[in-house]
Formats: sequence, structure tokens, C-alpha cells
Amino acid sequence: VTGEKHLPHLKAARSSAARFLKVLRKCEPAINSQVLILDLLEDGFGEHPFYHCLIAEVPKEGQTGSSCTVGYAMYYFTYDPWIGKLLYLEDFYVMEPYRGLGIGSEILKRLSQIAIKTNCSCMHFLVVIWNKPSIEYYVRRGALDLSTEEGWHLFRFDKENLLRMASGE
Amino acid sequence: MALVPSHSAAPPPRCATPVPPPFPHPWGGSLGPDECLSFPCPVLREDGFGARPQYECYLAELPPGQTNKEGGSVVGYVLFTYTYSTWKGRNLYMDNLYVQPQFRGQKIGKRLIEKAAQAAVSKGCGQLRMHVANWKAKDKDFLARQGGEDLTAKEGWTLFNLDEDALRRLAAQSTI
Repeated sequence: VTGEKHLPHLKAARSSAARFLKVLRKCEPAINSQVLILDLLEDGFGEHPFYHCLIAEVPKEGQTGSSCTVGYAMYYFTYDPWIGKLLYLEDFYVMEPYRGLGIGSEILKRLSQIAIKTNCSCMHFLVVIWNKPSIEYYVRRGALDLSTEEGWHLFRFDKENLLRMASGE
Repeated sequence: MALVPSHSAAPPPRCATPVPPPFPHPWGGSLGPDECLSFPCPVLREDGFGARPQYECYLAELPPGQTNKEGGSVVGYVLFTYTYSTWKGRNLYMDNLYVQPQFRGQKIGKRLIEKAAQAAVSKGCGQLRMHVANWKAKDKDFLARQGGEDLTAKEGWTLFNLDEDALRRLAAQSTI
């Protein structure tokens, strides 16, 4: 990004990226933040974002105008030629001391509004099967387990296999 | 057999035809100009080849002069989107991979997935993910032979869906 005219956007992007990085560090401390800083800026807040995020903040007690991040959602869009666009929720997290206050519900509500506004036919997300509390949380809100009901299994090819396939071996 | 990116020339591709990527119907046949299941073809065209493409796809086409039994030249396709992981960065999600049954066993599927892998590598993606129906044993075997791991079987990852009705109910909830 070069040129004076890009600076305001870059400042806003840097500020948003910094806030996202801050919530990630709080919620997912194992992530290597040194690698993420540059990737996050480019991949989430540049001209062609790979992902979008919502950040939940609460006012800091006794400090007017100040807030602290307590949760986030990271999502992107996928596509099915038979049903069109889908919103795919990749990360959804509320810090433990702030659970049970409706913050997660509010995030899901905003995500649902975004999905409808962007013409998505549905929202997909992954949950580990033995995470019963999470599954109950989603099922209560109308989610359907497609892996159990329809047999959908997630397959992954790691970097090594990607490189091998890309070379045509 | 040619693997053409459906937007290799100036988009939209083959603009003389009434529908873009005439996607072979996964249950047999190809979709004709007036058929598009429940999803409007003009939307499919705009979403893939408009100002802000929402997906990429490659088509497997027969050489000029050859046709499939429906009279078309497209016998398979791969359609994908770019996704993200806060742990691993850029990923590629393969939404659809399909080869018409009469053209299977000729490594077309392998070449289509290789195209997706090349796109993934050129974009700096660290993973390729897709969902496949558990009861399609041949499809699962094909993916496993290419090096795919079944994360649902191996790690319990389960796909959940909030359909449009559920989304509308959640969107209309009262604010906290």
C-alpha cells in the first residue's frame, strides 16, 4: 500500500487489526502473534479480506470511554452452486468471566443479520462432537448436526499434501 | 481433455451461452438453460464472474468435436473459495468436486483437485478442506488416496448448520 491517500484507510485497518489481535491474544494465547500481526493486517483488513470479524467489548469500570475486549467471532463466506453463498463461522469465543450474560447470543444475532443481509442461505460451523455444552448451546438456537443427520465428514489436506498435489505427482 | 479456468479469458466465460459454467448435474445429466435447481443462474453468474467474484472454478472439458451423452462438453468441475484460520492463516475450501459418472476412472478428478491445490499454493494457503458425504465410500477413498484426512472420524469435527429460518429467528431476537 503506497501513497498518502491510502493512509487513512491503513490507519483504520491498523486500528481494527490491532483490536482483533488484542482479543486473539486474550482468547487464544497459544497463537504465535509475531507471525499473525502482518498476516492479520493483510488478510483481514486489506482490499480483499480472507475473513471478517466481530469483536465484543465491554466498558472498563471506572474508566469512561475505555473498553476491554471480551469475545470475538471470525467468519468468511463459502459458496455452493446449488444454494449460493454461505456464512462460515470459523471462530466464536467469549471469555469465561463474561459468559451467561447474553454476549454470545448477541454475537450470533449480529452474525445472523449479516448472513441475511449478504444473501447467505445458511450459516455453517464446526464443533467437536464431544463438546456437549457447545452442541447444546447451538442446538437450542436451531442448529442441525449435518454430520450425524446427513453424514457429512470434513476432510483436510495439509501443506505437505497440497504441495505434492500442486506439483502433479 | 482440457482443464480450463472458467474465467481464464475476459469474464464471463463463453458469454454466448445462456448459463455460465453449465455445471454437470451431480445426479446425472447437465443443467439446461432453463434449469438451475432452486438457485437462479443469473446469480450464479454474477457471484462467480461479476465485479466481486465469490468463488473460483475450473471446468473439465472434452476436446473440440467430442461431447458427453447430453451433448455438452463439460464433464466435471471443481469450485472453491478461500477461507481462514487464526491458527494457520489462509486456507482453501473446496465446495464442490464433480466428474460425470461415465468419465470417471480417467484421473479427471485428480487433475481437478490438483488445480485447486495449485491455486491454494499460489495464494499461500496452508490447508485444503472439503466436506464429503460419509456414505460415498468411493469419494472418501479417492480423497484418502490423495492424502486427505477424515477429521470427523479422526478428531470428531462435526458440521453444524443454521438454516435460513433459524437465521431469521436469531436475527430478530431482542437486544441485550
